[in-house]
Amino acid sequence: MKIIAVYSAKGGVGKTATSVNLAYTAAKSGNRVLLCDMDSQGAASYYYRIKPKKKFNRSKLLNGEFYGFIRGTDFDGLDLLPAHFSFRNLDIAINDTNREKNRIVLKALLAPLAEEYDIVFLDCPPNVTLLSENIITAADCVVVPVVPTTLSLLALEQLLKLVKKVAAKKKKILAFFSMVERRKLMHTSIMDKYREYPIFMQTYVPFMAEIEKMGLYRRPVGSTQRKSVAAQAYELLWQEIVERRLTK
Amino acid sequence: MRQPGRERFEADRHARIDALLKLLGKQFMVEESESSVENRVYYDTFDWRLYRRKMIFYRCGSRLNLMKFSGRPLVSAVGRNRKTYFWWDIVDEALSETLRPVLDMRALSRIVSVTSTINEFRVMNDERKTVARILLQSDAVDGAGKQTPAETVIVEEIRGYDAPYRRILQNCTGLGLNKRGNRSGAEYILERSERVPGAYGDKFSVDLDNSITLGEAVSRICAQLLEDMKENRDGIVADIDSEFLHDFRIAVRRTRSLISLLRIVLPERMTGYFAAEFKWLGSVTGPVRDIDVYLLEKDDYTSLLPQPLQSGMGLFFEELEGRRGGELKQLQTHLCSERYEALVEDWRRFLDNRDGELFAGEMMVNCRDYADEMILKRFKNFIKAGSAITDASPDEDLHRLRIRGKKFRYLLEFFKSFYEQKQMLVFLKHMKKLQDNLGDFNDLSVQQELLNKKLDSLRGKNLQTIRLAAALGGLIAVLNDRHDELRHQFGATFADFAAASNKTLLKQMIRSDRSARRGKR
Repeated sequence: MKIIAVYSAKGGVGKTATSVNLAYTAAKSGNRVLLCDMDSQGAASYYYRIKPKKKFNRSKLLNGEFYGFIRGTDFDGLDLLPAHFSFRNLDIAINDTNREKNRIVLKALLAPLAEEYDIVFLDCPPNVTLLSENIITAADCVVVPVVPTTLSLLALEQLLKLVKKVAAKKKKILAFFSMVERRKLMHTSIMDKYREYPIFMQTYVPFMAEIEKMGLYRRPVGSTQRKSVAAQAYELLWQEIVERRLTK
Repeated sequence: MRQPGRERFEADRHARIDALLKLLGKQFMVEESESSVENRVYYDTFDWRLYRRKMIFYRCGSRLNLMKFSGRPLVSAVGRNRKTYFWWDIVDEALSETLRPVLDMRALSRIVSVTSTINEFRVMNDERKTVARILLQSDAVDGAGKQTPAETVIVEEIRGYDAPYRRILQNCTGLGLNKRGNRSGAEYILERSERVPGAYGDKFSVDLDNSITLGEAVSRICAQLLEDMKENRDGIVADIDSEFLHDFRIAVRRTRSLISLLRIVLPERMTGYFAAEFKWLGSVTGPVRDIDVYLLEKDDYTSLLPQPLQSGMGLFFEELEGRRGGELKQLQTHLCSERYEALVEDWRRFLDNRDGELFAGEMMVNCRDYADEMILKRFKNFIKAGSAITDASPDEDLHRLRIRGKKFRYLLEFFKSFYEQKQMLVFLKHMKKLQDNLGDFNDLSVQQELLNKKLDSLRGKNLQTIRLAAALGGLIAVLNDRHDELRHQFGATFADFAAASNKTLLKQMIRSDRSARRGKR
């Protein structure tokens, strides 16, 4: 089982769109996939039209009693653990669990899922907290959407600092340019400057109306417009992740 | 983690499906999402080797699939469309190696072809999220004419949505739909084929009760054997695999053994014709079987030889395969001849004729009494003949003992339903051990003889002939060693069988309920 976290300290960079569409693409290519919506806003759950069951909450998650709350999406091979409002304080709760081992809480919680799933995606909230440390420790690969702007690059730098702090391997991080508008000079010049860095993937995802419209259709783009530019961008992105991090 | 549920219901009338969809429409949003049509051709060996292991093999388009009855897929691979498949016909290694130990030398042939239409309905909640799926599957057996297709309603749970799933199941039972229960879809489909799944290939057995007359029992046993012959004849004519002929010959031998039993009580003029004709059937089926035995051992024989001699065997087997073609043609002519048809017809009439010899005079004696007596007699004779064999006895004596043993074993098998099953099983197991020794010994004699003949017939000095001669020589030497070894083992194996405990076991079995039966009659 491989754990892939989609993470950025900055909001609005397309994290949820990335996890929702990558999870769909991974399942479509025959993997058994679980998408965990770790963001209390529950946007990924919303896209898949899934609401958490009434008895679900943060402590159920942290006690490892969450298997019964995983729900099937409308797509074969793709399940989702919905977010809950109580996830907003997840980092505080993790902090309370066990001081010695609080960085590996998430990793331990996910381990038993290996029998059931090939790939687990974590859609992460935009912050730098103990939860982020947990996510970086647990993940085999951290996919970071970067809008080609200075603020977004700053967030990537912060993440690299965090990686160093938790003594994780820098190789885990795989960034890609997200919401790219080629008509914007700043976007193209930043991309030109950074895309050769090994941390960046070659595939980028353009800013597309069809991705924004996911909020209306509430389905991954690949399921409504398989041949669209957006759907193909996510497919290429997935292939690149597989080639660079999932195959030895 | 609990796996999502999947329940299948029989829908005997289409009206019920309509009613179900209507009812669900009041509680959920129901939307037809997809429909598909697929054709599946199901295969198994003639003796149901997959069915017995709860497995199923089918071809759908260009894919060959092996799965469990439960629906769990085992292996799936791309493969050609064929009427029959041996395991070695399948290119995909994972699939062929899974089938290999199960099929052995038997071929998969078509059992039934089914065209399934599947309509999928999504059951959704207020968020328009799918909370369950309903599949309507209509399976029409190809070539079944106007036979109505089997309609199945399949309800699939989506993980995490157990409540709507339970509600749909309640609706189904409320409407009087019957669960398909533990029977899998595949089993259900096989049952719609012309053959009875699993019926052929069980150990030979005919249920007889203690009061049955000898004639009636013979009639029933022979009718069963005749049925076996008829079923296997078609497989020989179509040349599906070697075992049709093997089983056919066993049925012929058993029949001949029973006829020889009748000689004692029926006049020669009655049994003579049938004895002669079944002997004829035995002899015309011999040549192909002899070749088959070699071909089945091909890999084994080749591996017995050291590497440098192996290439010579190729030629030998090629020649055998060529000869088999000619022999098979002759055999097929015999099996499609008027003589064969007449024999089957006459035999059937003889067995069925209630006013005939089987149901009068000496044949009206109690079968159990007769069986008791014959089994003890043949056992005694067998032990006597076996005990007389010493290390100095000629091989011929062992071959004769083998035939006596076979007749004795047939007798036990014909009448085994009279006796205590456990004791019978134990005794037959001992018997088999001895017969295996005698059988292998005989096979090795016959094979050496044929190889020697072949060696004698070789002429010329070309390299191929020399290689073949070397291979044959090598093989004869190896087989001769094995032959000697078996001969050497005979004494101990026979002594085990002739042990006092085994004699007591047989006597106990024969006499177990004799006094009770005497009382009844």
